[in-house]
Amino acid sequence: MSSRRLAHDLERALSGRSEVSADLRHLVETATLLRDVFAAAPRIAADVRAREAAGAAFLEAAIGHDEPSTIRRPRRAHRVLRRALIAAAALVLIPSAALAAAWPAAQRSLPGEPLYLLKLGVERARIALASGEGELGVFLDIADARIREAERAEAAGLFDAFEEALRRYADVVHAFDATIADLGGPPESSAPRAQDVFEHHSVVLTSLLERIPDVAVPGLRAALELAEGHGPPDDVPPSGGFPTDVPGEVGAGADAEDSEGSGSTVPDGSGPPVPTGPPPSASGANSNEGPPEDQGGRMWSPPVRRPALARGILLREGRRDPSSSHSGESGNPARAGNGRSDSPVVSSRSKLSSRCYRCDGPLFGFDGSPRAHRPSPFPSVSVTLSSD
Amino acid sequence: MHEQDKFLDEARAGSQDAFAALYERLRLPVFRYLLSRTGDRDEAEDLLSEVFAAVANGIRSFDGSMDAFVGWVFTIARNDVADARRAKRRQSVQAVPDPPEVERLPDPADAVVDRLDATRVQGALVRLTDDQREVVLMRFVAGRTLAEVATALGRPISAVKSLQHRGLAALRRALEEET
Repeated sequence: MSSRRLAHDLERALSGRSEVSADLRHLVETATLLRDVFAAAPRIAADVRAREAAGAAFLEAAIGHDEPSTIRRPRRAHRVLRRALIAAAALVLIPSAALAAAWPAAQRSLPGEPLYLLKLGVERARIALASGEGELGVFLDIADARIREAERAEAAGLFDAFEEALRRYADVVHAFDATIADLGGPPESSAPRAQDVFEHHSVVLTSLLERIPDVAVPGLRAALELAEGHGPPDDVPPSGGFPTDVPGEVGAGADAEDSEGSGSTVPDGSGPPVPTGPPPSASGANSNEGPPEDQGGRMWSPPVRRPALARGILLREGRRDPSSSHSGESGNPARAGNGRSDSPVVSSRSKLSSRCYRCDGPLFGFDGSPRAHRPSPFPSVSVTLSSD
Repeated sequence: MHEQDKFLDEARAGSQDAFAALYERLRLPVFRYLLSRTGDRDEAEDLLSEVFAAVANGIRSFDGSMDAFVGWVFTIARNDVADARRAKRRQSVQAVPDPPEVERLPDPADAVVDRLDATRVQGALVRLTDDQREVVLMRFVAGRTLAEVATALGRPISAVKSLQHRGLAALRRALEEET
């Protein structure tokens, strides 16, 4: 039989249009083996990255500019033009009738789900439409959305989506920092809300730390460090209770997602806060240390004590929360005993990225003020000497 | 008009929805093709992003049928694999071992068997000619039609049929010799 005829018969056999003859059977089996061996799918995080990269490239192609796949800051010289173009393209592309119908579901979507791309597209459009301090508010909203996604993913046992949400959380926080750098420093009017938001994130993330499997811990730790690095500084005296004056500034975005009922809404003035993390009183904060401090027209909610990360790790390990005796405050005997200085040691000249080389904690808070040096997140060994 | 052709037209006109539908249809075939060409899941996942970003960039200027579109997507995938190989060769001198990944820690037994199969097939595929390998991977790993493969390779359908036959026969021989 000619090779051409054989090739034709093989194609008919492969497509099921004819019986598989004995001399072609081994070739059909080889084709089946080939198909089965590589019958894999991309992992959910990779699929999300590919969708986002493609979505961003698609949006970019619509306007002829290079819109990166993750939230990054374009060069200042191009930003005004880019904003207008991206916003215009987003407004044309995103709110079609079909997408409007899909929007409620998109808001509840998690990384890896089909409608998540739509959610990210709308977020990108919001960033493009905002400017200055308004942009900071949008970044806070988006960071908050990532935390809610992480909570829902954890509750559903979707740990790929959980890790992806936290990776994106880090992207947003870095973009938030870059915007502050562009603005020449943190604007005072935004600081209280930012500190509230990040403090709330610390609480939520700390509570999640106790529930997630070990493989997901590194990502969560990184996110928790970021959140704590942007929370209220340690040296701010805690108030005697929950804030009595919720901020009127909600940022650009208390959007409809805030009403999805995840239970982790940041106190933003749109409704009563329902934190899912441990109650502030359980954090080891001394609620009687002093009067509530007014900061820009509002009061602090009780700050999460700095060793939240260490506390979460200890709780995961079934050990006692040492915050009552190892709170991280200056002058703590437990710390004095380990010979460490309370003065932070500056390892970098940039305020936004300065970290203590001893505990790797941030040296400066969101408002630029120096923070108290934190103890190492690793528990110290205490030795009790017998008087005998 | 076929539904996929409609998506293609709408995506060309700027519909993100339609583009998402095309992505949905092609992501698995393209990923499997990339995985079979690279033998590395991480690399295949990275390339998947690059391929579809390139598709998104160029779709407005693409002019052709759905078969031609799929062929074009796979042409991009082939080129990306070739570029990645060239880049890897350049960097191989300074290669630094990857840190161990959680996902690479001990697999269940069946996954190990699957991996052995994949390694064996990967080794046998090396013994095919470039054209034979492209045809069998696009046809059986990516599940593409003869017309789509013909478009991607720029060959007539009759030539693709012959390459398919010779490629499968060569692969079979290579697998038998390995065992």
